[in-house]
Amino acid sequence: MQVTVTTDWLEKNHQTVKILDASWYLPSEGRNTFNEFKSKHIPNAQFFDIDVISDKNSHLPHMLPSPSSFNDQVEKLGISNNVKLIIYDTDGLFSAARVWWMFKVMGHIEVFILDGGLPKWISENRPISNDHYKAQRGIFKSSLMPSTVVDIPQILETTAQIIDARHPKRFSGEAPEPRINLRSGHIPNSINIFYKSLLNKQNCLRPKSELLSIFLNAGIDLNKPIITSCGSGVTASIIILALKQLDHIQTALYDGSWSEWGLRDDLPIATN
Amino acid sequence: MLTSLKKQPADRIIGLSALYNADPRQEKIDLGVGVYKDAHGNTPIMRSIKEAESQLWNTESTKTYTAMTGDSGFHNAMADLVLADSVDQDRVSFCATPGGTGAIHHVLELVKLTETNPTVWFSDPTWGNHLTIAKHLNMQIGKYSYFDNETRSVDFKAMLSDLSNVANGDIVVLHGCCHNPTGANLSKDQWNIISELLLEKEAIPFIDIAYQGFGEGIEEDAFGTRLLANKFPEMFIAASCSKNFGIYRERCGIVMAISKNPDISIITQGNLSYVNRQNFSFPPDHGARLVTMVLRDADLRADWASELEQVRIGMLDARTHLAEALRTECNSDRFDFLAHHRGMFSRLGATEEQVNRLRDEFGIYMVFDSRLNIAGVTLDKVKTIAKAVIEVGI
Repeated sequence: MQVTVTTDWLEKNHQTVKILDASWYLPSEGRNTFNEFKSKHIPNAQFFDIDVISDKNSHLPHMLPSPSSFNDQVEKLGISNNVKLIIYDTDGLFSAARVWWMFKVMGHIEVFILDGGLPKWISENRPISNDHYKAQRGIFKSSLMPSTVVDIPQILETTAQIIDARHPKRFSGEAPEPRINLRSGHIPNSINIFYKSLLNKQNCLRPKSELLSIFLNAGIDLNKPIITSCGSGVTASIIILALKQLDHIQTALYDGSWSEWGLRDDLPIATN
Repeated sequence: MLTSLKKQPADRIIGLSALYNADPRQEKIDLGVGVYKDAHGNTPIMRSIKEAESQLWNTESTKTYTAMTGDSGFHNAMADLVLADSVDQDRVSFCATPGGTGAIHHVLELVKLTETNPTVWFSDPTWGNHLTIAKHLNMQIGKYSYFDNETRSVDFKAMLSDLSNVANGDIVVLHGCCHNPTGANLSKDQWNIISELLLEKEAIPFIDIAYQGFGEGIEEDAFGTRLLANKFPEMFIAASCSKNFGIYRERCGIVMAISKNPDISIITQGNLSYVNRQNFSFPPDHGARLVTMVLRDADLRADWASELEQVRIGMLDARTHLAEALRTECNSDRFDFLAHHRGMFSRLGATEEQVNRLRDEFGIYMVFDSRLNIAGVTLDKVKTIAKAVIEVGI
C-alpha cells in the first residue's frame, strides 16, 4: 500500500491535507522538539507529541491511548475522520512512523509519511513557518483495529514471526539498554532487522526492491503474520511502515516492546 | 391435493450455502449467509449465554406455558435495551416471537387486523424476507430508493423524494441499524430529517432492528429507533436477538407496538396476543429467558456487552483491512466505502456475472446481489479476496 507522499506532492497539495510534526527523540538526546517545532515547521503543521497523546495510566513510555482519549486529543489538533494526514519529523524518518501507525491502529486510512521528512523539505528550499496557531476542533471517531496491536499473553502464544528493530548489539545483549533496569537480550525466536537498514542516507524508506531483499535475507516469510517490536514501539513502527509498503497484511506491533519485556524477570529471554 | 401445489422458488441465500458446502476446493471462502463467524469460521455460543443456560438448567423447575405473548420480564428487558426511556412504556405493547422474522410477520398481521389497508414501504434494496412476507400476506408494497450504486452510500436525496409519496397511515419500514444488505446507514441528521418528513406525512414507522451492537455500539445503534419512538404517536418495532446474543436457532425476537395512549395500548396488546394464538399459541421461551437473564444480571450483562463489542470491533478491523488491501490492488479509494459501512454486510456493487465469476474462478461465495458478509473476511484471506475482486473487474 502507499505509505509515503513526496515533498513535491505535499507542496502542491498542502491546502487539502492536515500536516503533523511528530518529532520525538530519546530523552538522552536532550532535545526540546516542541520548541524546535515552534521555530521551524512546514506551514500549517500541528505538533503531535507521542508522550502526551499516550496512555497516562501506563508506567511504560508512550503506550497507545484508549480510542476515546485519542479521539479527544487529535480533535484538539483539528483532525477529523475525513482528512488526509501527512506526518513528518525532523529526523527524516523516525518517530513519524509511530504516529502514522497510531492513526492506522485507530482505523484511519488516509495517513501518509512525508518522504524524507523536514530535512529533505528544507534541503529543497520549500516554505517554512514559525507561525503556530490553535486549530479549530475536529470531529474524530476511532475504530480501533485490535488485530494490529499485541500484548505479552499474545506474544507468548503467537506463531507469528517477531521482528525486533533495535540495534544488533542491543538485540544480542552486548550493548546496554538506554533505559534503566532493563535486562539485555531479546524475545526468544525473534529476528533482528535494525530499522536503520530500511532507510537510506537521507533517512528515506528504501525502494521496495531493496526492502524486499532485506526481509527475505533475514528469513522473513511475507505471506505469514508478523509482529514487530523494538525499545518502546517507535522504530518497530518503521518496520511496519516498510512491511505495509510491501503490502503485508497481518502486521501487528508489540506496544510494550523491550521497555516492558526487558523489565519482567518472569519472561524468557535470549542472547546472541 | 398436494399434486396441485406449485413449486416454490428456492431461497437463494440458503441455496448458496448448499453450493458452498458441496464445493471441494480447500481455499473456498464463504461470504454468503448472514451468520456471524469468528476468525476460525465458527459461530460460538457467547460466554454469558452459556453461563445463563447453566444457571437455568439448575434453577428452572417447570416447562409449563409462559404467557401468550411471552414472559413480561423479557418484554421489559428488551424495552430497556432497545427503547431505553424514549417512550412511556405504558404506551408500548409487547409480544415475544420466533425470531426477528416472526416479529416482522407478526407486525404485518397486526397491521392487516386494523383493516386500514396501508401500503408498506421498503427500502430498495432490502432484506429479501421483508418483501416475500409482505407479499405472502397480500399487502400493498411500496419501494423507496436507498442505495447509490456508484458511491455505495445512502442516496438520501432520492430516498426523501420517494418517501414524499407516502400516504397518511402508510407503513414505512426502516432498518434500525446495520442496513441489510447494503451496510450503508443513515446519519443522525438524516434520521432527524426522515422523522420530520414521516411525521408530516402522518406515516407510521416500522423499525426492523436485527443487529443492535454490530454497528457503532449497543446504545448508538438504537439512536434512530429511540428518536422515532420519542416522536411518533404510533410505531412498530421488530427486534431480533439472533445476532447480538448469538442464539439463532433458539428463535428469539420481539414485537413492540407503540400506541397513542395507554388505553389503546391495552387493545393493541390483546390483538398481539390474538395473533400469537392463531399462529402458534405460545412463543418459544428458552432464548427469551436466556436474554432476560443476561440483561438483568449485572455481571452477565457486562460480559455480554464486552464480547459483543469485541465482535463489533473485529468486524470493523476486517473492514479497514479489506478497504486498504483493495486500495493497494486498484490504486484508488473507490472501495473505502467498506470501511465506512457498518454491520455484518456490505454491498460491493458488482453484477451477478461478476459474483458468479468470484464463485466459479476463485471459490469466493457472496450473495448474488454482491452482498458480502464481513464476518467471513478473515485477515489471512484479505489479500486473496481483494485480488479476486479486482480481477473480475468490480
